[in-house]
Amino acid sequence: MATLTAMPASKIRGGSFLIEERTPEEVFTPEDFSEQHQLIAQTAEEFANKEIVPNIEKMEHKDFAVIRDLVRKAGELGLSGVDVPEQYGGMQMDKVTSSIIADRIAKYGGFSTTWGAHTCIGTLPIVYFGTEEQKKKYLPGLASGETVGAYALSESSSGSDALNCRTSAKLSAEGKHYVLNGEKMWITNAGFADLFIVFAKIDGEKFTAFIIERGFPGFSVGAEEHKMGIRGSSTCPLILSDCRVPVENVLGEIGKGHHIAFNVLNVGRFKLGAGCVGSARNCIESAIAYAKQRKAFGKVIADFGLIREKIANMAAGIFTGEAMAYRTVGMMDNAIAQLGAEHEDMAQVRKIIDEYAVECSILKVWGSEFIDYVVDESVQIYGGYGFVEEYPAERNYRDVRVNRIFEGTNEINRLLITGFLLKRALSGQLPLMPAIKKLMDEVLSGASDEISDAPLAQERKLVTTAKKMGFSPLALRRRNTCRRSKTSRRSWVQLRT
Amino acid sequence: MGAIANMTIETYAMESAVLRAHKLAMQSEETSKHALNMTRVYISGAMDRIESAAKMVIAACAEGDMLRSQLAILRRLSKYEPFNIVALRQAIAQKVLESGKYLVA
Repeated sequence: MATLTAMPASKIRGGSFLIEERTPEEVFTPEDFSEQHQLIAQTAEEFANKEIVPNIEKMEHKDFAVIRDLVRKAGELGLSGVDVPEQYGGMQMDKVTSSIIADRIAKYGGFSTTWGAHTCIGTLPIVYFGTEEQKKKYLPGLASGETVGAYALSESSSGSDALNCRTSAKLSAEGKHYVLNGEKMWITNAGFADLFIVFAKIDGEKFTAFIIERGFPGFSVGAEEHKMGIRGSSTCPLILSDCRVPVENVLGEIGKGHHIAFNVLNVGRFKLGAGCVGSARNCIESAIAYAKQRKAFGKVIADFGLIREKIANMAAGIFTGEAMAYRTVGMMDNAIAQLGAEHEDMAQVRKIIDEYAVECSILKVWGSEFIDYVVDESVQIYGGYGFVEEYPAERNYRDVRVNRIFEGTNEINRLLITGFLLKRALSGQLPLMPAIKKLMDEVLSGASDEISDAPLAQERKLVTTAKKMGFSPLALRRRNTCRRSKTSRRSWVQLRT
Repeated sequence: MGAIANMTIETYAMESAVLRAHKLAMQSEETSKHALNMTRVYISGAMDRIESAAKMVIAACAEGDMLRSQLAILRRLSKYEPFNIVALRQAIAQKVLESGKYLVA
């Protein structure tokens, strides 16, 4: 596994950015990419330019053979197995590499969705929770792209509240199969995937994950959805009608399916954040090219202040998004590197990813909302041409909208951010309350407003001020929360679920 | 809850941008100017958004004297010299348009 030699070995707690000062040396940035990172970035970008982009039209028209071929080619290049251990056919690279690929491959929303679902939520449940037999049987095919994976959690009446699913599982009389009944909705890759991670409740109560092969009796796939965007991906319902799943295909512990369902979403979220930044980089490039050749009132529109403002805001956002995305995965990799020989223990790796759940949700929400700004302003720069299908701005505008919906809606992720932080604060894992008190004491004592001559002193002071501004209402919430009964305090914490 | 989450998100974004720009400035003040410009543009907008969210939360959680004193604290915190965003955006756009793509230095 690649390691981050650019950073000192220190374990930073998830969410601690709110209460602790960081030094520049403690954060990983794109400027710290190793040669290996740069090489894989180049490979992913070349693959996107030479293989994905020329096939966009075919994928937009649901040519699944082309899509499957591209998944296989990505696997051949080693782009699909970065999170899969080497003994199961993968590359087992660091999380920075994972993010780099998600970032650089993001030239077309349809394929990014297919590839993201395959490598992340379609593969990682087996990496993190599979038995030795399950890993040996399924992971080599998934890593190579010969097998395509999918993940089936949502149903027509349960999306964000996934634990309320209706799909049932019952052990057969002979005890060798579970019999599943129900219907799953909005399943990415369903039209051509071979393997599905499906969630169902055993005896109507024990939420459990199953690995289902496409050919299992009683399993079928419904009609393609007609979507606003990401049309170059497949989205269908799954129908489970007395679907017989061998008991050895239960994934993880019975009744603990929620650990699987939610853990892999953290990975999906940090990769989605990186993908949104990559996508923004592409959008700004085409917007710049257009703005530099389109003339109005005798000069190119790139010379107009309001167009320049949009370009500048996009660039500032990309710089910030890159900083957040790679800082987060850098913290994960640093913590994983400190596991030493245990870095191959997937349960330990999983715990580290969980540690940064707040940062993962932040990347997902921020990235998906930033890319919405970028595609919207791209359409504006293109003007009328942005509104027609001939130019990429129109498709990008439609394609990115789903990012605010899948991998947990942005509303759910916002609840996760606050709920997770408060839960950690109340349990003492994150000393948020003493930090609030200390900062508020500083505010009330009227600490000096002077700014030193040190580099970026003014900017750093603004970051500290931002934390104080955020803490000020949090102190009020704390006061209000403490006034409540124990029951209401519990429900405050439980808001995250 | 949404406003608190938004302040948390913006704080992480701001700090990440500032730390990255700082790291670049430690290598070369000259070549990090563009990165610093982008950082300043981002954090200026983020400060406005955080202030607005904080005001909303305070108004929802406090009343009377507590409301007034909390808003006074917020006003004091939000007194800072603004960057010249118009000039910064012009400089960023010039650099990005010249190169034809997003770049850091």
